[in-house]
Amino acid sequence: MPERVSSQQQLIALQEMLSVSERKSDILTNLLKEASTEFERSLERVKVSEANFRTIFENAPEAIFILDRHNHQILDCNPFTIAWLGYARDELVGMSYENLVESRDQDLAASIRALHSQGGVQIIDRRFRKKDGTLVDAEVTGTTVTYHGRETLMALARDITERKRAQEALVASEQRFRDIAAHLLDWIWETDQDWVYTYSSPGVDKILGYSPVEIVGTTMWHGMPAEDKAEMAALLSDIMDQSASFRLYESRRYHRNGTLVHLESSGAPILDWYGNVVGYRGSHRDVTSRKQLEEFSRYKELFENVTDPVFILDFRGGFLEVNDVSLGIFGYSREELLQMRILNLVGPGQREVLLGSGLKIQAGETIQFELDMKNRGGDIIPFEFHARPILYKGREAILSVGRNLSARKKLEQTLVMTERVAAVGEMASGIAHNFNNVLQMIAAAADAAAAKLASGRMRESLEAIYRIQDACQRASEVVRRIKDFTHADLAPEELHEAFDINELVREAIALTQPLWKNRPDAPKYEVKLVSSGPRYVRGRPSEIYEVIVNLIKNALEAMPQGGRLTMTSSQKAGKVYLEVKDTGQGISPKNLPRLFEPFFTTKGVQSSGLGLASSYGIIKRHQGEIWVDNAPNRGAAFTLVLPRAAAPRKVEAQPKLHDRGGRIRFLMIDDEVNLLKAMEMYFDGTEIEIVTCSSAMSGIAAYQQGSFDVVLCDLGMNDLSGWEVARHLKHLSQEQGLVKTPFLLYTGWDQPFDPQTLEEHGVDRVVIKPVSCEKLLGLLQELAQLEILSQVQG
Amino acid sequence: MLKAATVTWVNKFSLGNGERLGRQLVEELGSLPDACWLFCARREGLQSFLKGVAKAVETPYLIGCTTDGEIAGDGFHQDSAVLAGLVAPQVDFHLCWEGNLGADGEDTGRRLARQLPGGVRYVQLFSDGLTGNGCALLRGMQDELGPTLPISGGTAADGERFQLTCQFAGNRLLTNAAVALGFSGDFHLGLGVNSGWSPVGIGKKVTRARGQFLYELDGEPALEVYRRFLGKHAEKLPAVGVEYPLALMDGASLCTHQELDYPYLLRATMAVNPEEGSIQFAGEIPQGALVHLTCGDSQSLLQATEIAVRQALGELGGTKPALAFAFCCMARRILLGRHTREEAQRIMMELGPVPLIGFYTYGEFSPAQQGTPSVLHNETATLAIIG
Repeated sequence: MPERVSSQQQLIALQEMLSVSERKSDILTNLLKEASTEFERSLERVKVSEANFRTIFENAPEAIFILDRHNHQILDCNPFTIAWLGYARDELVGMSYENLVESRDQDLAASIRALHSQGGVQIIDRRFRKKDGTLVDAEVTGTTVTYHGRETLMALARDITERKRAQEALVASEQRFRDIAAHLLDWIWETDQDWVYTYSSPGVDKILGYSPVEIVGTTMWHGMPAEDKAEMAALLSDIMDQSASFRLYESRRYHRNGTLVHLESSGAPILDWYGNVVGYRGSHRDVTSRKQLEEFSRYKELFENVTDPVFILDFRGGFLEVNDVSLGIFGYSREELLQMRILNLVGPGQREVLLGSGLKIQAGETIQFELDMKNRGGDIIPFEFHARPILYKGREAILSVGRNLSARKKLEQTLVMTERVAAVGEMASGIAHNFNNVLQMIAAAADAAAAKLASGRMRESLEAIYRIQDACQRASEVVRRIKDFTHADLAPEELHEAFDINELVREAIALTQPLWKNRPDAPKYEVKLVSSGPRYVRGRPSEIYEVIVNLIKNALEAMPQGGRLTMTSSQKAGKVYLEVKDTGQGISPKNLPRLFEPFFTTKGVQSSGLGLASSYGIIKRHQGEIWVDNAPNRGAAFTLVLPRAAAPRKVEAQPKLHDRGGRIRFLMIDDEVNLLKAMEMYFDGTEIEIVTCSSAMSGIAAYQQGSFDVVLCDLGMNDLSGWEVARHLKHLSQEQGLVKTPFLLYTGWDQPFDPQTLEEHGVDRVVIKPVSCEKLLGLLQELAQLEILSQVQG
Repeated sequence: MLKAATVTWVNKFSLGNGERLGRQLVEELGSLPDACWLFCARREGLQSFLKGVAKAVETPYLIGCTTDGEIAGDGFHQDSAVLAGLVAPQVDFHLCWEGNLGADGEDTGRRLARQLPGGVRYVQLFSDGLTGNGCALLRGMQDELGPTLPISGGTAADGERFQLTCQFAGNRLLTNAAVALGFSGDFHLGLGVNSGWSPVGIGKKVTRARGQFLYELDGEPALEVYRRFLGKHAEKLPAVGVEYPLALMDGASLCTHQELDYPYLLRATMAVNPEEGSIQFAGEIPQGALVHLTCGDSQSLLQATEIAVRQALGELGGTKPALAFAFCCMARRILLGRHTREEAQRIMMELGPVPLIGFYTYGEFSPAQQGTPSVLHNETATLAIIG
């Protein structure tokens, strides 16, 4: 039994073995089949690969060597190699590769070893020796390759001899270029297509103070003044688009130290192999000195030849250069002026004008402005300046040319005065005429009064006397008008009073009556004022009066055959309008623009041509306007427009505080005997007890003897002046310890009196002649009341 | 001075029997061991048996797992338990374990490795051969320990049942776990690896694979390629695939983070999916790898085992071996069949009178060469000798 078991086990083991073997056999067979199939496919691939390889090998335009990997013998080479090196095929096959390569290439073995160990492709430059001994450069690519079943090396050699020569030539050329560029004073540059510097010669250091390294990478417009950049960029863009060259283009740059440098630039395009522009190459030349010289030459001529002061200033107002005329005008030496600033020479209140001008010039404007300046002696000289920004010695500066306005201003004043004088002359003839009329009236009325009194016709006599009083009033107004006019220049600003323009019109109509009324050959004129109420304006009445008179005269002259002159005053929205309208020949349209021009006239030599110009100036000074409305052959209308003023406050009459019930002792001292008699006659029967003295001495004596409430004393007397009398009486009062009697100084001079002077002399009030008796009475009563008040108040 | 002994138990597993086995070991050693190894079949009473052994040997450094056959100094056994002990006063041992291996092998490896102190020079690793990805587990450990620290061992097996494997850490019975024993101190190590399978046929490229699953070779469904190779025997897949494992020709580098110079790694078929045309292997198949079918026989296998032993002894140099570990793939047992016992005998013949312990695994951990990263092998005989 154990034997059977053992046999069974052996059988099982054998069966297992057979099974395993069969399985293994089947699997290995399958694997072999697959391997065989794969092998056939690989062979096929290899055949294709071989064919491809052979085609490339035979036809390649480069040398191909197949080398033994151990001894580097040439196993095969392609036709190009044969032709390139000049050997026959059987000369090359079997030759060692090293024999073809320049012996200086010591690393050949090392590179072949590297190829073996690392595999892959090696690219290296080699120099080959041809059969004829010439050397050629080649770029060799080495790789391992299976060739006819052997592991071999393959070397592909591309002839780069020409390329190398070209490269060397280029390098040499570039080096020559760099050598030249490095030593030129000009700044040689190259840019790319975006005008970014790719090269800069050392010349940039001398020109702009920057190193080439700092410049490379910046644009061509880097460092330009901001206002120049846009134009430069646009120009360069056009140049690039056209692939054009450019020459002698001027531009500016800031030097490292902040000064401006002028450059003159030229450039030409750099082209690639295909003719495309890849950048520009050119030069910049520093022409700053030349520009400065050009500018300076211009200024030099200006400086030396002009008769006006010329100076060059920096933007702080410091003098950089002045001409000789400036020295003469201001009274300083050149050295002194060049240390000063213009602010040191401006007149009072001119600082703002100067600063405002400076700002405009700094913004690039050329301006004109008036400026008062003072010289060394402190005299104020009016100037009109023309100023503009310039470049002076590389820096921004101001060129100023001044014109002394002194003469012009004097001329202006003279012109005004001339016109004024002419106006005065006009007035004088009118006034003389009026006075004659007035005197005639007075004389006639006095005769009539005397006659009526003699015949006992009291009422008629009184009427005649009233006419005399009227005439005197009118005469005093005429005198006052003259004084107003002649004292206009001296009147302080505070006397710009509010007045009714209608009153001035009425006076003007009256004054100019001789021109349009009651002349034997006169055409018929109708002159009238139309107004619905007072029209108050503020200013100098005399000047407005002058304008109105001028307009009336012009209107009358425009109506040589007679006509109607209507003056209409109105007011609206804060303005007063006065229209002076005639029915004359009107103004020719071609003359309209020149109407207010000084010296313009259509009346020939008899007219100064200043009337309307002066009127225009007066109205402008009153913040008004003057318009012209013209209808040729149907008349002209001039309209004055002035700001409306509030009505002046009426002076209230002083109410009587007390009825005194007593008499007023009144001492009148005047050497005009007729006047004294007239006063005595007037005050006879009133509460005024008048004592008259015809000399200063008698007046003083009378004062010492009597007690008076008021003294009225003429200023101009033969023995003593009214001032002296006043002082004497004041002294007397002080000596006696009495209250000073009110002292009135009576004078025809209408001028301002210094209050201190009045007080010193003991003059309490000044009464201007003429004064009506009634007014004098009122004044005496007022003074008496005041005295009572002061006594009551103690 | 190292001293080792091994004992074998073929009877019932129980607490008492465990103790007995442990006492036997102690008696053989003549002293309590510093570290013990227990490899056994998964049988009823295993837990108590383990506790008994642990109690008897009195060392906390007790490591091991279930097997597909046990190897000891008296040869090959099945359905038994083999226990080895080492007395090594100049060696420090460090035992650690981590569960949940199947969830994330790399993370488990990192956590396991972090438990080992610095100074550890050698690690033995036993992990669940059914739930774990051995390649991932190794990668995780090497992330922490570095690529050159030798790790040897094997994945636990469950005979031919393929149901449940167990791992032992002290008296703990674990599953779906990895247990590791770190060696530090004064000792020498020799490692040897060989399989006996040789590449046949034309190489193919893995054009589609993921983890342990191979989908395509040279663009063709993997199963189709295998069927072409195996012909009518393809119907025996996956079993027949164990006889003809796949060789990864790029070496072990494909399974680790590192580049390696190793002929090939073997991969054993585990399962097939006819619908997908895919094959599951007992280790990762990297996409892009060049692979060959391999062929071997019992003679080549046995010769390979001898070579592995000689390799390990060679690495030990002149140091006297104290204890040898043999971790061999269950595929070898299938192919060797009746000759399986010869493998253990060949090992013992090469080793001489050196205590031997080991087991048949579902996968082996070992560096391919000294100084190279440890990788997961299939169908391979791996030897580790401590001296």
